[in-house]
Amino acid sequence: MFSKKKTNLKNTLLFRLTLLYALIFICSTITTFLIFYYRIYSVTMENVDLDLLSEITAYQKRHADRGLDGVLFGIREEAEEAASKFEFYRLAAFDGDILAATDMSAWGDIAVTTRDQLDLQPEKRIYQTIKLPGRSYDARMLSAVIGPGMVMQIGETFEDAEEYLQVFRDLFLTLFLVLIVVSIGIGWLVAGRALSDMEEVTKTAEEITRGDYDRRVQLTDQFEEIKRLGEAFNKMLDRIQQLLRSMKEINDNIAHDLRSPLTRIRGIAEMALLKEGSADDYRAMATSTVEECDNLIDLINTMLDITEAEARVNSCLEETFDLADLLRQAGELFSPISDAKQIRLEIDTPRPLPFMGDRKKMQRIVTNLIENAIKYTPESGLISVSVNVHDDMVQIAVKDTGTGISETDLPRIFERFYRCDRSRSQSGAGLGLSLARAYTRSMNGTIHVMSALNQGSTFIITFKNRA
Amino acid sequence: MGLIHDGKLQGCDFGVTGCHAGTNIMRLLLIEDDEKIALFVKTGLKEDGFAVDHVTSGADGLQLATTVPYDVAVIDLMLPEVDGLTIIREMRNRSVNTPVLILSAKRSTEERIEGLRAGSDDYLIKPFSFSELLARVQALIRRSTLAVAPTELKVADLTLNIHTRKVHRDGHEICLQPLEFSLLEYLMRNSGRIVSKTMIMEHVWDYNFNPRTNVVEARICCLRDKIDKDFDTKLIYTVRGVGYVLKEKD
Repeated sequence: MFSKKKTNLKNTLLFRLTLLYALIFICSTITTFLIFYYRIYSVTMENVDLDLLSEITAYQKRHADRGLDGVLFGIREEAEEAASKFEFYRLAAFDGDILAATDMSAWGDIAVTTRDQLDLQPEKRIYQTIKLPGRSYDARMLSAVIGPGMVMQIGETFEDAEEYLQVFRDLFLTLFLVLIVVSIGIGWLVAGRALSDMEEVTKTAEEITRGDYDRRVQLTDQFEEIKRLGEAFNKMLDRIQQLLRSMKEINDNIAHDLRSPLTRIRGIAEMALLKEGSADDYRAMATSTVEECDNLIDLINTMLDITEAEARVNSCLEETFDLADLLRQAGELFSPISDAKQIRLEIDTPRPLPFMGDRKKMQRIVTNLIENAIKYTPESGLISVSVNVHDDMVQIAVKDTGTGISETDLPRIFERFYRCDRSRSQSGAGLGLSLARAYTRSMNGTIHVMSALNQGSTFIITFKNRA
Repeated sequence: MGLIHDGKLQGCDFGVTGCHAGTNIMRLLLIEDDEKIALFVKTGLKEDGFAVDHVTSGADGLQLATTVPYDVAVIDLMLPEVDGLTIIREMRNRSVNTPVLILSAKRSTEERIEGLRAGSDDYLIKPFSFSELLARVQALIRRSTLAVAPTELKVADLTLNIHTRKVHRDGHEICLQPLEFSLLEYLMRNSGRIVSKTMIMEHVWDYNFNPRTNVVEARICCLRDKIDKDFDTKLIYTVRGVGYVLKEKD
């Protein structure tokens, strides 16, 4: 599944995972074998030692019962059994003289244990492991005093044990090789399975790059982690698609909102060219052109302001200013307009209210909200701007007794170019609230609206005050 | 003038005509590669009594700016050969203290700050209204000639005292709200010149944007009621589509 991409195999996660899996498997198998082998080996050795001890004990008893002759007879009997390759019996005096021995030709040069060596041992017995010349296995020898001035040595090879240890080793090696192959196979399959799900995500991403924006990662029976990756991936795609869609919508709207004034400007200019007119006519045409252009420039600037605020391209300027002052100034700014509509515009704010943030942005948020309220409040209505301070939170509420916003419009009023149907005829591009929201958010604030049709709306902006 | 210009400079146009009689001719350098923009700026400025030298390339502009003593320079940022910021930096390096107004299509705060740091004195974003350009150029000249602001402004029979904040017309005292006072002060300081709504918003209200509802117009209406209504000669005029002007009858 990876080969088609000509990726360097050594760098693939699949290869690394398989290798790791196999290595861990091999190490644990070898450890297990070593523990087993060591246990079996030591148990065998203990058995041989017990065997030797019982033989020595028997000779000690024989010496006690029948004297030296009995012992010599016993050794002669052993010598006749012709198993000298696998065991030996030797009786020696403390001075090193050999009194009796079985055939020791296959055992090499084995020294007689001295009295001093034996005296060091509490039970006057010495166990020794002996290397045998020309043989793959070792032997054990027990030396003990069996009578006054006499030391008896009995040796026994591990030949029997060696036979089944060999079988064990052979079996292990075979199993080991088989298991390595199996473990690599299993590792490859397990890692491959997990990674094929991941490959699915990659494939989806590639398809999306080619333009298939509706593609999503299929979430079925993947591993939990991969499923989470897929979910996150799908969520990201949904968000991007939503953004694309809204951008397209915005583009359409811009195109529409630019086209109409451009058509008007063009029309005006064309009229000026087509017919002779008085200087006043021309002046009027030029005036209209300037006004249309100003609207266009405003529209474009506001769009850019919103986009920049949303993308947080320009960081907010931090300064401390009097928010109460700013609100009062905004109220003053609009007082001739509200007076003309006989709307009471109340600004209720503590004095002073130091606030840290971007003053110009705050000015614009507040004026946009007041402007919006004035626009939708009929004559002799009331608009009140109030400030609430809770701990370090500052809340500004702009409440009007205007037409209100319907349930269906409410969730969408902050969208760019969104105008409730009834306001289509009204002036304005439908960017005021979008800008208010974008600026509020860029200052880490929140904006909420509550509204009831024909009763009025309340816009609430909340900021954390760090001043 | 007595200055010899290198007549071989490309796209260079030396206009020293169109001066108003009795006033000092202000020499202005315009470095702008867009011929159409340059044309309307040049025409407008000449009409207002400026002697305008216009070049289209940055290299020519830099040479003129550093060799000819201008009263003010208007410089576009995006220019062929040498860009506007480099010209300004070079001017300041050579201790040429001519006030500079930047014209630019870049509108971000960072760009403005960069422009001002380079040593310019003001920044105007394209598209701009000519009246705003003119007002800013005049403000730069006023600042550079260190004209002392008078305590009393007077246009025809209208007087405004900045210290006592009293306004009189024809001997009668007129009561104005603080905002109306500021607006009148701004109009009187620029008497005879058209000021746009944007300029009023910026200088009187300290707002750098134009609300959609015409708050300026509403305020001008209030001001007119107090200044002009009871008098035969009107002082405040509306120039439709452009702005407002306070002047004696023309």
